[in-house]
Amino acid sequence: MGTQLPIILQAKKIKKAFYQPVEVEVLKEINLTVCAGDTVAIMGRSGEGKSTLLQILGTLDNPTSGNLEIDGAPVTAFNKSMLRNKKFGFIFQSFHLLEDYTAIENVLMPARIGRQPAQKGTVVHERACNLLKEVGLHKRLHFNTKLLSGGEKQRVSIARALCNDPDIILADEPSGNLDRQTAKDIHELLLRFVGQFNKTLIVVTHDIELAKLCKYQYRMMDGKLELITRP
Amino acid sequence: MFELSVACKYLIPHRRQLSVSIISLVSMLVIGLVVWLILVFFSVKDGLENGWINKIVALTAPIRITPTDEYYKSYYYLIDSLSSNSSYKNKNIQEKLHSIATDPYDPDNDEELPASWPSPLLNEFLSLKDLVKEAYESAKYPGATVSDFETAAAHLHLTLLRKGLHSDIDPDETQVAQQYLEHSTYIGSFDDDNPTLSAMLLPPTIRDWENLKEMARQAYVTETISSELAALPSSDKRSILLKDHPKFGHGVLVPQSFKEAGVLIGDRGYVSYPSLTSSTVQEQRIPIYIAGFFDPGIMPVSSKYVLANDELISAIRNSIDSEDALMSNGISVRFAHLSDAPQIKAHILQEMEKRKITSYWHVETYREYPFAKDLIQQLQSEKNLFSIISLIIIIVACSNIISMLIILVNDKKLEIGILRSMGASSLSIATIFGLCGITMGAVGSTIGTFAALLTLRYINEIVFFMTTIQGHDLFNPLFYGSVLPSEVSMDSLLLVIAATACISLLAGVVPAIKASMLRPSAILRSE
Repeated sequence: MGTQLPIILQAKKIKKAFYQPVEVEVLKEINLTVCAGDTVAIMGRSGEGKSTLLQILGTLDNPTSGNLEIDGAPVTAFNKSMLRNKKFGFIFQSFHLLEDYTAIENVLMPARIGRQPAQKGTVVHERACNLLKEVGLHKRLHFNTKLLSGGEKQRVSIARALCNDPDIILADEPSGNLDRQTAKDIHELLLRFVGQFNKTLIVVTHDIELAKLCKYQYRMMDGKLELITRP
Repeated sequence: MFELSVACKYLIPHRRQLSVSIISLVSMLVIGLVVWLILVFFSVKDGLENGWINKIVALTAPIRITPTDEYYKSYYYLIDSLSSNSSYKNKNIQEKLHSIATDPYDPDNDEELPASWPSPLLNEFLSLKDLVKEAYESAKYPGATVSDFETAAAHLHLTLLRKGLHSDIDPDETQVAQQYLEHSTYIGSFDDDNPTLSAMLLPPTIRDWENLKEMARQAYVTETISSELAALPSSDKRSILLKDHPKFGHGVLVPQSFKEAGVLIGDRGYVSYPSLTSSTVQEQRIPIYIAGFFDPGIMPVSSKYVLANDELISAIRNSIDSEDALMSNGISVRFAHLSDAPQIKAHILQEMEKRKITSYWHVETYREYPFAKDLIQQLQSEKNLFSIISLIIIIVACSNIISMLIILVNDKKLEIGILRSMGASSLSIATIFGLCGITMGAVGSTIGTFAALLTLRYINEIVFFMTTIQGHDLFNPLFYGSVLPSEVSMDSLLLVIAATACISLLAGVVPAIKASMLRPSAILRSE
């Protein structure tokens, strides 16, 4: 792991167990340290707990035990919302866009949740327009997201993840619902953005091609995280 | 504030969420309907009640000061019956007020005071305290007018002469049919300075005019009083009509129920009352004619209340020289706002206390009058009861919001998860659904308020339309008046708006808590 860069995310002894319908320990003492600007791929078979780990790292879920520090600060019940808004950008397999809103409104939503002025003419609005231009959707700004294709939706999703200029992008199988060519385009776009904006990327994927593009590759097996490739 | 825009987005009907849209629309309409119903009902009810109370107050006064037994047993009152300066006659309040000598007793000429009499109440100058003048002084308050009132009881006899009652038998209508009407009445004084009383007068009809002309013709009066009556709607001093006319006697104003019984302006008759002589009781008669009608409202004794000039009342009172007649004598205190009554009463009592005359006077506001107390209490209890019922109806109407919002929360689970993943706090999520509840309540009550304002504006047209369809009066005009009140009741408006806002907010709380408790990881994983 790079030592010259500051640690942006540190997970210590993360455990997660589900108790319904029977007790299953999905994560067993996971330790993970990610430095700023790192790209990390987590692979593994379905049901191994990759997405659960990503949600815990993104503060969407609570670990049964263990500690998580983001940018040196421990995650508590009180700073979770703020962390999700300021430090993380999420990209989901099913895109998870707000369907009653246009592309630009979707991209602006994290800024509005963060109480930033997001009307036309503001810096935030301009940034959102630029992001959509960068992902190739400058002609779809005011399109309702229902009308967009899968690839376009994921591009909007990537632009949205970057709206608040977060430190860490968490992607959960970002190309899982896309065809091979579109998936490739999305991978390139994602990695280009991460490099261009100097973000940290943690991606959960089955796609070896995407994993290969990342600096670190981990495999989840039996609830444990195993580093399989070092740069 | 993104919460408000998200809440509005949720409430705008979409084809995708048809069930939620229909339920929210129905909920808002139900709230609107309830608000409309309550506002119209309370506005009309308040308007009617205020009208009734105003009429009760117009016939009496917002505050009355009446003498107590102590007053009638006092040296101050009794002394007139023993003094030659007072012609050995008890004085009423007006006479007491205008009498120059407070103590008319002359120890040299008048007979000796009975031993059982109370000793005179003296002031700081050791002369007899003038209880009436002191009471008048106590009753003085900025903006209030103080005057005396007197009510007498007498029998009213009217002779109704009508032409054309037998026109089927007598086509030339030469025959005049005669009818009689007798009524025991209370005769009160007509006070020109009381604007509400003047407003209660009903305008004369064409039949009244014709009857008046007929009265003049029969009495061979060339200078008819119709010219005076013609000035009725514009005259400031209506009591001119009630003065003693050499041909017709005193003019009296009778309640609307007489009009319903077929009495017309210009009908003549007399009032009779018993007069005590040394050995027997004689019936005395004073000729009167009907000079007009007034709408007395719903006061229990209103159908018996007749208004006349002070001379007529004095004539009756003087003939019955007893305490009973004087018991209906007192001081009226009139002022513009009825709501000031308790405050003015307290002021009067305080002033009387200072003058040490409290035991001689009984101060009552219109809410305490024996003849109006039950009615006013009943109106108040009805109002309280209806307020509770309205509150329950609003709760039932707003409970729709709970079910609608719970369905909405289930529908929007994924969006809640997405918003949470973008950093929306659970408080923000709760706020979104709370705002949905408040918005529904606000939209519903706005619809209802506008509908109520529109209904009240055209209420009399609506009643007329309904009456035409039904073929009979929707509301009894004798009881409710010829037109229904159409002014919106601000109290009810405030009550309804505040209750709807509170209850819709409370209705939004349960779904809002449910929404905020949803775990984003569980939602996003399941989707």
